Amino acid sequence: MILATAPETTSLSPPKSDQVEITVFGPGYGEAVLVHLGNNVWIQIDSCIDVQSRLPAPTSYLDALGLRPDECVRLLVVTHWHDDHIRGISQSYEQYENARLVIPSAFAKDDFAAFVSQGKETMVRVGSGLSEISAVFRTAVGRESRMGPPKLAQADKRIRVFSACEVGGGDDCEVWSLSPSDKEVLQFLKWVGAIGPTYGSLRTRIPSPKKNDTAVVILIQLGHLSLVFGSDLEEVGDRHAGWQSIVLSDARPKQLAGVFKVAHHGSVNGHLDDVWTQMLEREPIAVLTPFRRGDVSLPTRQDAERILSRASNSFISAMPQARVTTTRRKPEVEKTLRESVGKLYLAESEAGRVTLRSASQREAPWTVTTAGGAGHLRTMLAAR
Amino acid sequence: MSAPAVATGLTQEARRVESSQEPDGQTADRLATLAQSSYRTRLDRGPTSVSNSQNGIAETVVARSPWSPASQSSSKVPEFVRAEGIAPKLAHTSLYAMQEWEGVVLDVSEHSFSARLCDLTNPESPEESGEFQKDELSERDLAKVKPGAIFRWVIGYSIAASGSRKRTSSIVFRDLPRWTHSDIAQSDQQADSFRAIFKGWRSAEQ
Repeated sequence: MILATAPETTSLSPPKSDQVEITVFGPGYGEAVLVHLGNNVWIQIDSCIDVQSRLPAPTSYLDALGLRPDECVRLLVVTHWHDDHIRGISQSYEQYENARLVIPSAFAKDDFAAFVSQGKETMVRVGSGLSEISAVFRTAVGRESRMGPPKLAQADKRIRVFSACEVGGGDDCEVWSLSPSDKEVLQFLKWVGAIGPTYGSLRTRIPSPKKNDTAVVILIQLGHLSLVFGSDLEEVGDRHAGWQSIVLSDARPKQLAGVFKVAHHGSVNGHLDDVWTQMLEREPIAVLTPFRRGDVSLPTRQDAERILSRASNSFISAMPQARVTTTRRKPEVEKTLRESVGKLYLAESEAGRVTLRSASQREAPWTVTTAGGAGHLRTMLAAR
Repeated sequence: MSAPAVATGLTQEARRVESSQEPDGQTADRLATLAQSSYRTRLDRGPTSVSNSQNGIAETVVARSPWSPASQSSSKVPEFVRAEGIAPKLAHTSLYAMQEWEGVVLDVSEHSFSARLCDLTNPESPEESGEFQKDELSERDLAKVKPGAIFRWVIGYSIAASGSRKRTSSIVFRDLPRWTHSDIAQSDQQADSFRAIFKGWRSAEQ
């Protein structure tokens, strides 16, 4: 149930100690989520960069709330290795001294060790996510004696329990990973093995995997509240992989979720009807982030209509059609640019965000605020 | 006096092209293309750089400033420049770069590719993205267009000896250095240290 929705007009203030907050950031190329469990205990899932500040958007947001990110973030989840989910994550992790790292179990396999070691990317300016992951690993090693090793996410695994005392409520809070499945881990490692270097082969910037095989879906259970964060997990028509493997699992918590971060930017290949009928409440609140790259723009009109038909309260962190052109250069350069490429766009634009807040009591309504280009998904449809 | 730079840079391929039995027009076009790519290379390396297949540039070798009127009078004019009707076109063109980017290919479709761009002229600028048409690439570069490929994009002027200026936009794909045995050994060594760390992480989970 939603009490009110409104654009953000007043200055930012942190959630109350007994309030649950979910903030989804998505500037058009990138995605991150912050969840306040209560009592100033926060979880961050993935990372993206805010083009204005050039800083990780979630970290800047916590700063703007007047909080201490180094103290309040207790869990940092890397759901998968894709540029649009991990930009700035090493910088955030460096700062979050109290955060335990969560990575896909595939990242701690021997094959991935070989893969992550081949990233001599200093010779190109446009780096790939490999350097972010390497930096995260270095920080994790340095912090291991104090914080323990990273938690390895896989299907049906309770990765952390925050006691009721810690989150200041009447119930413990459980954080689960629902993926990747064993099959997905194997597929990812097979891909990793196939692109390893051989003598005489040309170096390239390591391309992102086409499939999101290791995407970690996170489930948070806090008393009566259940929240699902779909990362970029796709549906692949296989009962041992993708969304089907999660839906069919007997080992996952079965409480229906009231809030869903829609998977894979709302695209049809991240959709499975059974997720909406078997894992989510009827008419949940859905939040998604757009994806813009080249001529790909997600969600499409059909995607938006499909999501709205299942969740009339759906919000998007930025409008997919809104792209920011870059600042003007010399007139001669601009003219040639127009003739050759047309337009250039900022790779990342202002990080729009959707914030949901609710008291943690049963049946408490949600308040939704939007900022920086975020809005109701219907607004997107109207604008197209 | 040594042979002029353009000749140094293009000798092998230019000679091969010139000695081939192609119709004159095709030969001229190919030589012109070679010369232009040579000038583009100068932008990457600076005027004093030398041939080195390890430094990441696919296009080869320009070791000094472009062909100058003075060098034309030399008795050691490179043979392909003597080809009638070609030499003036090659010899008198220089390129002035106004704006440069380094790009990385993200996605490739049938007629175009998208790329993420770093502004080399204004390094503090945020990264950009753009969509490029494949038909603007040379055959040679076309074969290199795949996700992860790195290119240099230059917008500037080509300036003829007559002083006439023409705006140009050129894309040259780079070949990063090849993996050597030593690179692989170094990578393996680092992988071993990661494996030891990961083993600890995995055993902590059990």
